[in-house]
Parts: sequence; structure tokens; C-alpha cells
Amino acid sequence: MDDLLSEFLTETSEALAVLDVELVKFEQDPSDSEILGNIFRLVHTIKGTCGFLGLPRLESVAHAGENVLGKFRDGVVDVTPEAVTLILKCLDTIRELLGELEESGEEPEGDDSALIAELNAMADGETAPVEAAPDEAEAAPEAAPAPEEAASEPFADSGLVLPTADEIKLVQDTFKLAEPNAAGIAEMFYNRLFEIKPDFKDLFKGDMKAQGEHLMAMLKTAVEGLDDLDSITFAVEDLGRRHVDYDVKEEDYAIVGEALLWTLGKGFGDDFTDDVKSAWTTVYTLLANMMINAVNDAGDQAPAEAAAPPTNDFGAPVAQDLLDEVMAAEANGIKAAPEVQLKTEMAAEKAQESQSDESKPAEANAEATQEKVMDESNVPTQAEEMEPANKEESKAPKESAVAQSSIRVHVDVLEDLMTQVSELVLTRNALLQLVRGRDKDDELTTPLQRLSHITSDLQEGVMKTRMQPIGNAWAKLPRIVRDLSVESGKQIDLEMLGADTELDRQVLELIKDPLTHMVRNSADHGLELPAERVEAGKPERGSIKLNAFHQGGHIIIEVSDDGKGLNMARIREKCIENGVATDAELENMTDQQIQQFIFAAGFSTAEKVTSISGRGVGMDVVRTNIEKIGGTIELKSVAGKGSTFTIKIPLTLAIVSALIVECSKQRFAIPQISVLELVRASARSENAVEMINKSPVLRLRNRLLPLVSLKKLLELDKDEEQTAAEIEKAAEAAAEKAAAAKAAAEKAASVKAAADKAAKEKAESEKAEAEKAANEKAEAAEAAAEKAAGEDATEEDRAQAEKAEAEKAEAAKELAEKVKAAKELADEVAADKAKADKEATAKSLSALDEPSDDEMFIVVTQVGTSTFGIIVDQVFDTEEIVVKPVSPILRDISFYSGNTILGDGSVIMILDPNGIASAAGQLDTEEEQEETTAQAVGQEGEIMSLLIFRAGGNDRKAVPLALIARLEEIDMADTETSHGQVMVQYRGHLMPLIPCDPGHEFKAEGRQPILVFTDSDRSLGLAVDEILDIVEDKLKIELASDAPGLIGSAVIDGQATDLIDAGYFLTQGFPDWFGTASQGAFQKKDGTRRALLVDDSPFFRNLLSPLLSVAGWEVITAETADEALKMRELGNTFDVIISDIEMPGMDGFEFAADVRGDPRWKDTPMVALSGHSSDDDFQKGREAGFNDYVAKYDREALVSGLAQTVAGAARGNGAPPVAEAAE
Amino acid sequence: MKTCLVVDDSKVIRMVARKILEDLEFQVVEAVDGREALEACKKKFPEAVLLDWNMPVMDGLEVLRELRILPGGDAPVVVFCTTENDMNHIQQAIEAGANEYIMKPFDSEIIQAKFAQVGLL
Repeated sequence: MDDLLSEFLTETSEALAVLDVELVKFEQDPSDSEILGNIFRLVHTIKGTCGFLGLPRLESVAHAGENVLGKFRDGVVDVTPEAVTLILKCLDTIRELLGELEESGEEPEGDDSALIAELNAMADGETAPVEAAPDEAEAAPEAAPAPEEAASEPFADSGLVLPTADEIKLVQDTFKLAEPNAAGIAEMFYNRLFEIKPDFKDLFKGDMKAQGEHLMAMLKTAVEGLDDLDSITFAVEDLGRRHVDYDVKEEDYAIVGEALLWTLGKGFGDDFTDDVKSAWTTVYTLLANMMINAVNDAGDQAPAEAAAPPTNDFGAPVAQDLLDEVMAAEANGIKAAPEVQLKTEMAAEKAQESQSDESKPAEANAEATQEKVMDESNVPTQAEEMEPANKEESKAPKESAVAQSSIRVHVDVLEDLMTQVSELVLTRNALLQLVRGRDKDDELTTPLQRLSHITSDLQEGVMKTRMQPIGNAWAKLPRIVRDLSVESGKQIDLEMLGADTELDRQVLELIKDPLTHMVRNSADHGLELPAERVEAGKPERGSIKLNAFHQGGHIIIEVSDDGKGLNMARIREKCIENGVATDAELENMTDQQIQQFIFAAGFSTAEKVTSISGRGVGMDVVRTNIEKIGGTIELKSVAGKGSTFTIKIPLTLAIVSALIVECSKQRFAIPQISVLELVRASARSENAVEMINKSPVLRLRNRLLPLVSLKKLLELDKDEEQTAAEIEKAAEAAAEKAAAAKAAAEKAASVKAAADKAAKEKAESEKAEAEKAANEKAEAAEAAAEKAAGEDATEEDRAQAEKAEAEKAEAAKELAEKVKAAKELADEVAADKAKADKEATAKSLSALDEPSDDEMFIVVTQVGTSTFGIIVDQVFDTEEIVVKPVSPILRDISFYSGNTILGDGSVIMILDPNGIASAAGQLDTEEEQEETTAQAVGQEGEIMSLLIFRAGGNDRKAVPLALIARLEEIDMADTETSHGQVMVQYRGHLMPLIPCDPGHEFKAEGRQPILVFTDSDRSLGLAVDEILDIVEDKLKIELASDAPGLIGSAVIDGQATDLIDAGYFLTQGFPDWFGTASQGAFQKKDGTRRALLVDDSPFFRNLLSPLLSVAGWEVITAETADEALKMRELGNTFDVIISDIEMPGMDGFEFAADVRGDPRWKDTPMVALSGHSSDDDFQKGREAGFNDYVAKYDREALVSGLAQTVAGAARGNGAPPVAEAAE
Repeated sequence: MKTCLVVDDSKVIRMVARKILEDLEFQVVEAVDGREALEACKKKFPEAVLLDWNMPVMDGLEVLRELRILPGGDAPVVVFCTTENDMNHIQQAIEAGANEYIMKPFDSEIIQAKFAQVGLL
């Protein structure tokens, strides 16, 4: 693609982006002539530039748009949303055409006459008469500012004869008749045409059928548009200009006309009357003349061109050949000469800048750069353009300086640069690592440090070139919101803060879609219709706010709306529907936990699929996209108040700062972005690791921090165990081998002994034999002959004996060697075993060491709102690492986000805190739970008396003092056992003793501290080890527990403490302590009174249920008002309803109003529970329908209040609460 | 060598004009808006100005009027160059002090013809 065209594409795309924003602004304030002027100018420029490049289609669309804008400007046409929509549509068409132009390098074929007709109709106003025709000549299609002139003399100056209305009708009617047979007509037409002028055949290449269809379609548009010539002028004139390209001459139109009329005549037969014929003739002549005029007018506008034959390429780009020349000239370096000369002149600097501005990209990069290029000049330029002219006195020179000092560079160049820098950083790291071990005074140190600095600077610099203001990603949003608001009838304000916050363009690209999606969501699901908003007491206009800002190495983007918030009920339903959670699980979750489910796949809560959102692309995609770039997203939603999404993303992706840690001899990198702090915990330090519910937690500044052991998580310890086991196995095998070898050696030894013996015997016997033989021989010789012969014989014998000796020795030697080898083998094996043993011991020792290790390194990590600690073996330093993607085979493991090469060349994994958090279970919501629980409890307040005791181990346990009747110490000697239950006689009754710790064994004697829980006539003793203290503290459950007998853990008096569930122990002593509440059937039982307890805090539900049960109530609990109302739907009835006031979703007052408004529970007495107990609250409660109002902590008052209320209600026979309030 | 100041907010058009003018042996200076054009003129008057009408910051007409007030500002030959082609506009431009008026899109021959008419070539 050529340079000029690519410049045009870039320029026009930018203009379109500005236009989108400006138009939305303009619609809100149509009186702002300055914005309109800017819009008009931009469209005008697009149109003007199209002319240079020979893009007639674009030009005609832009012109029609400009026309309407001109009418806006002149105040002739009112600015309506429809009009703006139409202009936006026009811009979209331009954008589309640009897209195709960019792809193919050519303007696509096509027909925009419909859009142009619409625009023109708009320009003429709705009441515009049919004949309000334009007088623009094709080559100078400028907005006609004096339409009345044009209207009076339609087409007169162009010498065209217009058909009458009758003629038009005739033509249209006959065309309609002919239309069904369009293909046949086209064929006939072409046949006839070629018959008249065979030359034409050459013009029509390709599929004649398609050509025919095209012809008929054009004809149809033309015929239908006759009523409003304006609407087809451009299409027809366009066609005329295109004909020039095909070398169609003026006289040819007559031939075509002849063929057309002939064809029509054939087709209609007798129906082709003279009237019809003359009407068609008029129409055809008009169209033909329009086409001819279009060409000739164009010629008139270009005097130099006029002399040339019409076949000259006027319609074709004027700039086309020009550009070739530009390129050629630049290649030849022609431009160099003037440049040098200029330098001496006053304007030299500027001119040169502007020249280099232009020539550089041309030289360096002939390719098109349609993509957003780092060009700071554009944004400021456009921004300043909008400023009032009088403010610009001082700004303009500066602005132009900026414009001139920037160049456009292709994104690929920057990407390459970034890759190179990444490699450089790696190499630098490697060098640093090398030097680290060396002497400080090493001659390498200083240059290396310099290199290191320069590398860092370079890296920063390259990073900067990739930075773009986030506003670029937002540019489309105003338009989208505007379209949405028109479509949905909602009134939406879009507020954008921090648009100039910069971030890496790669990141920017990746968050663009998620952001758009979230804004759509907010507009579609979040915000209510104006009527609903007014009803909810909110301003009619909803608002969506985007806020971006830097926060410690990353960028926070908030998308918030003030709409209705998430529909919790719907999410719950959907959870169950999709099977992501069961009813029971949801029961135990906080709203915030449940809200997070919207990030699960396939989770759209939109009631209906609208054209705006709910198309299956849900928040899961958003989350995936954001997590892909190492970001996190969290959500806060308050019913009726709106939702806020908070996205946290790193500034850049390529190079991150990471903390290097070690675990089980393996190193890992943890991105610094998620590391909050490092803690070295030991038993002696104040940051001790405590075990709660068998899971380790760190008490850090009075907060409990859940811990994850990296070793356990990654199963690194398993690896070790495995190796240990393998070594052991090997050792065993070695031992066996050794034993075998030993046996072999022993055997060998015995064999040797045997062999020795045998050899000896043999040798001896041989010797004996030899001696004997010798003797015999000697004797024989002596006897037989002379002395001399005897000497000979003896010598022979001796030789024989010697030989035998030698043989024997050899055998012995061989054996000895064998034995030696066996022994060596045995030794080796034994050594192996010893070594293996040693290693195994060492391993198991170290394994043993670990849990009891005093010191632990904990990396405190934050993911979203949740904070947790990762236990590692060792912490090294932080390093700038280059992130390489995880290889595909490891991609399924969520713990890793990538890998990197360290300075020493080793490849290590980068841990993904997100993955670790989710893999470590409920961690990612624990904190939120903590927060909400804290809220639930904390709101009400408040300080509470707690009894601290110890039972089983050193853990501190607590129970609300209010539940305990007395503290006693009893003598174990007084206890008795019955049915395996330890009892004591206490105040004339038998009181069972229940150990708080299941492992507790009652001593035979001595004093046993107990906590006494009592009900009117029965008591229960809870045996504990030691009663420590009574403290007053805020009760804040940090970690909820599922263990029986435990409610959860809290920091009480500065220490982690388990809060016990008194109710659990009471039922152990007396299974019927709570009546039949535990069986919980919703059927009313005789004699028991049923109370419905509605409270969102599980703590208070747990606290109050036993209390009420003790008072003789059967208690059924509900977590929310909605849940309570569901029970009503199921037909349950209660004797009294006790409800909390502050609850998420429907609050107590609303709940009461609802209850009173429905006949089913209308007469059920209601008691309000609240931390607040001012008179105002009392009054408000009574008005809402509560019969009584009790402070939450006043259990006496609650019990007595219940009794009174129920009695009162019975007396008054369900008298209306208002009346009661008046009492 | 004569200098021609090309004033247009569209870079595409400036590129085209530069090419044409350089072929006609002009030294080309560019300005992206009216304000910048005036700045350039104040530094050194060019022999010719190819002036766009619709521009941000300061439009062509304003430039022309201000230019003509400047001491010596009547010297440069100003060729107005725009798509605004009706008589009204042309008259306005000529009244403001334009020497010649060219329609967009222009090409080399048009420029040559017009520049010849006003004696620049």
C-alpha cells in the first residue's frame, strides 16, 4: 500500500475517533457551535482528502454527511437523536469503507445510495419537497448553503429535462411489472446492445449473469429514486464517472438507451404504449445526462483537464501517479537539495522538522501504519483543537512544536525493540550474576554497573515508547453508551476520569474489550430505566464512571455505576441451575462470595438476551482476559446502590520485577506486584504461626493471615518423600546384594579352603607317589645297576614334584583374587548402603525438621481483596525478569504464569498468585468473608464480654459470657457416673458434665473447673482445663469453622481464639435441650411455640437460637428476609417473627411492611432486633409494623419481650401494629 | 528559489501539494493550521501561500485577513484552495485578499495554470 494512502487511512481513522466522541458531546449540547464547527471541519477534511485520492464512494458518503452537518450549522435542520444516529451511521460506513480500503488498497465496489438518500432527506428536513434537488456539481460537491435557490430551479442550470410525476409513476409501475423477469430482461438487453455495437462486448468481462443482476439493481435504485432525485444523484453521477474508466463515451449513452428501449418494448409487447415509451425515454435521458454532466462538470472544474479527452482518468486518483513520483523522487534523494538551502533561512528549523516528519516514515517504513502508532502529537492536537480560539494564543506554537517533533513508527518496530531489550536485560542479569561471586574490586565491576544502569534506562525508555494513554481505549465508549442509551431508553452519563493515565499498548489492547464489555453491562443490566430510578429515589440520569489511576507499579481501573446492583436472588438461582454451588453451600456464603460467581463461565443473569449484552460472552471472558495479563478483577455490588468493578493490571507485561524464592531446592519467581511484605516467623518472634483447625495461620499485627505451604501445594515434599523412599529401596537392594556377595565370598572362601585342601592332598599324594616311585626306581636301579643311573632318576622326580607345587600355587592365587573381588564388591555395596542410609536419615531429619522449624519465610501476597501468606524455604532478592510464556504442556497448571531465565542461566517458573489462591481453596474469598462477617458483627458493635478458657491443648477458647449462668469448680470426688455420663449433684439436680475437649479425661479427684449453662430446671456443666479470663473485646470472626462445636476463630485480646458453639455442647448433654428444634420440621407441634428468626449474621443466629430454645421456643432461622418470605409462600406459620433490622437486600423495615401487607402473616407478632435502640428507631419500627423493638444484646429483654408481645398480640387478637404503637 | 507555504490540516493534502510544488521548483514550508501559518509568515514571508479554508485553531479566511494587515503582508501571493466552491465563498476569499482560488482536489496542471496566472511561474 502506498504511503499517501496509508497516511490518509491513519489520518481519517483518527478523525473518526474524534468524531465519535465529539458527536456524542454535540448531541448533549446542540447549541455548542464550536463542537459542531469541529465536527463539520473533520468530515469536510475527510471528504476533501478523498477527492485527492480518487475515492468517489467515500467522498460521496462523506459529502452527504457533511451536507447534513452543514444544515445543523446553519440551523436549518434540528439536531435530533435520529439525526445524530444517522450521522454516526454515515461515519460507520466511512469506517467500513476505510477498513476494506486498508485491506485491499482499493475502494470496494458497492452502493451507498440508500444511506446517502437518507442523509439527503435529513438535510432537506422532513418537510422537504420532492424536488428539493441539489445543484452541486460532482467535482465540487460542497454543501449548498442556500437551498431555496436550488429548490426553485431544479436541475435547470444543468440543462436537464425532468420527468413529470406521471411519467415517473409510469416508469416505476412498468418497472415493477418487469422486475420478476429481471434476469431475462438483462440478458435480452445485453444481447441487443452487443448486436448494435459489438465493441461493447470487450467492456463486459466475467460473469454476464452477475453483471445483469447488478444492472437491474442499479436500474431499480434509479427508478425508485426518481421521486427524490437528490437521493440518487450521487449514485448516478458516480456511475457516470466510473463509466469514464471504461472508456464509455457520450454518444454511447444513446446506444445503450436504444438497446434499453428495444428490450422494454420486447418485454412489454402491447403494453409498451407510446406514453410508457416516452416516459422511459425522458427518464433515461435524464439519467444519462446526469452521468454525462458528472463527467463534464468535473472537467469544467479542472480547466487543464478539460482539453483532455473524457477518457482521461479524472475519476481515477489524481494523486496516484503523483505518488509514484513522490516515491521515486524520494528514492532519488531529490528532496535533499532544498533542505540544505533552507537551513540558512529563518524558517529553516520548522520546515526541516516538518520535512523530516514526512520523509522519515516514508523512508523508514513504506508500509501502512493503520494501527495506532505512538504519536503523542495527535491526542494533544485534537484536544487543543476543541479549545476556544481565544485561549489558543499561547498554546498554538507549543502545540505545533509537539506535532512537528514526533514521528510515526510502525508498532512492529517497537515490538522488536522491546524483544531486543528483553534479551539485553537477560544478558545483563547473567553478567551480574557472574560478577556477584567475584572480588569487589574486580575490574569488571564498574563497567558492568554502568552497563546495568544503561540497560535499565534503555528498558525504561523503550517501555515509554509503548505507553499510551488509557483514554485511547475509552475513545469508543461515549459512542457506545450513547447508542445504548438511545436503544434502551435509559439516560446515561458517562464520566471518564484519568484518561491520560498511561499504560503499555499491549496491555491496553487486551483490556479494551473487557472494558467495553463491562461498560455495556453496566448500561444494560446495571442502570435502571428512568421511571424505575425515580421510583427508587435516584436521579433520572444514571451514571457510569470510569476511573483510572496508578497505584504502586500497576494501574487500577474502576468501572462503576449507580444502578440497581447485582440481582442476588437471580445469581443464587443461576448458581444452583448451573450446578456451581448447592443450596446448602450458598446458605453459608456471604453476598460478596456469591457475587463472585458472575465470573464463572456461562453465567449471564440477564433476564433476556438483549441486543446490548447477554450474548453469551460473559464476565468469565472478561476475567480470563484480565487474568491473562496478570491482572485481577473484583466486584462490589450493593443492592440498589450500584456495582463497582475494580481491575488491577500491571503496567507492562514483558518485563516484571519478581521476588525469587526457594522451596525444596527449587527456585521460583513471584511477581512483585502481588507481594505485600515478607515476614520471617519464628516461635520467638511476635509473628508466630499458630495452628487453627489444623491449618496454619500467621498472626500479623492482630490479623489472622491464612498460610499456604508452597511445598505442600506443589507437592514438592512428596517428591522428597519419593526420593527418600527410592533411596531406601536402593539401600535395601544394596544390602541384599551385599549379603549375597558376602555369601558368595563365604562360599568362595570355603571353596578355596576345600580347593586348598584338595590341592594339598593331591600334591602330597603326588609327592608321595613320586617319592615312592623314585624310591622304587632308586631301589630298582640300585638293585638292578650302577649308582649313576640312580641320581638321574631322582632329578626327574624332583622336577615333577616342583611342577605340581607350581600348579597348586596358581590355583590358590586365582581363588585369592576371586575372593578379593567379592570382598571389594561387598565393601562397595556396604558403602553404598551406608551412604544411602545416611542420606535417608538426613532427608527424614530435614523432613522432620520442617514442621518444627522455628523460622519460616512467609511471602505475604495479595490477590484481589484477599491476602494470604506463602510459606517458602528461603527468600533471595528481587530481579527484573523477562516473562516467557508457559509451555503448552504446563499450561493447565494454574500455579504458574510463565517462566523466565535467571541471571545464572537457570530456567525457573513464575508463580501465579491468582492460581495459588484459588488452588488453596476458599482462600480467595476468605478475607471477604472476614470482612463481611466483621461488618455484620462489627456494625452492631460492639464490645462483648467473653469468657476465655483453655480446654485441650494450649488453644484459647472463648464463649460469650451472656450464655453462662455460673462458673464453678467441683470436686471430682463428688462426681458419679450414670450411663457412661459423668454427673454431679448440683443444687438438687443431676447435672451432666460434658468435656469441652473430646479427648478430655476426667480425673478421679481434684478440682475441675466447669462452666454452667442453665435452664429453669436443668443445668449442664462444660468441663474445661482452665478458666483464663473474662475480656471485653470486639468480636470479629476471622475464620469461620465447620468443625462441630466451633463457630470460628477470632482475635480476642490480641490472640487467636476459637469461639465455641455453646449450642452444640448443650445438645450433647441434653439432646432435647432445644426442644425439637434440631429436627427442624416445619410442622407445628403441639405445645411448642414457633419463632422465626431472621438475621443475616450466622453468629447471632447461633447465639439467639439456643437462647430462644431455652425459653421454650421452637426456632426456625432465615438468613434473609427473602428467605423468610419464601417460608410464607410454603405455607409455614409462626407464633412470632423476630427480625434483624440491618440486613443486606430487604431490610427489617421493608420486611415488616411486606409481612403486614399480606394476609397470611398479617397478624403474626413481630419483634425487631437491633443494635440501635434509640427512640426514633422504636418509632420507625412500630410504624413499619413491628410490635416490639429489642436491643440485640439484651437477652433478658428479648425473652420477656417475646412473651409480652405474643401475649399482647393474643389479647389484642392481632390488633394492627399501628394501634399498638399508639397505646 | 521561491518559497511556498502550504497550509492544510490534512497531511495527505500537504504531501500532495509538496510534491507538486517541489516539481515546480518551489521551496515548500508546511503549516497544519492557520496559527502556525501566520507564525511562519511572521518569520519570513513566502512568495506564495496555498491556503486551505477549513482548519482548526484559525481558518484560512482569518489567516488571510491577518496576513494582509501585517507590514509587508500584502506581498505573498495567496492562492485559496478549498472545496467551498460557490460564488459566495469565492467572493469572500477574494475580498479578504486572495489572489487566486483553486478547487480541491487540485493536481499539478491546475496548480501550474493558476500559479502562472498570478505570475508565480
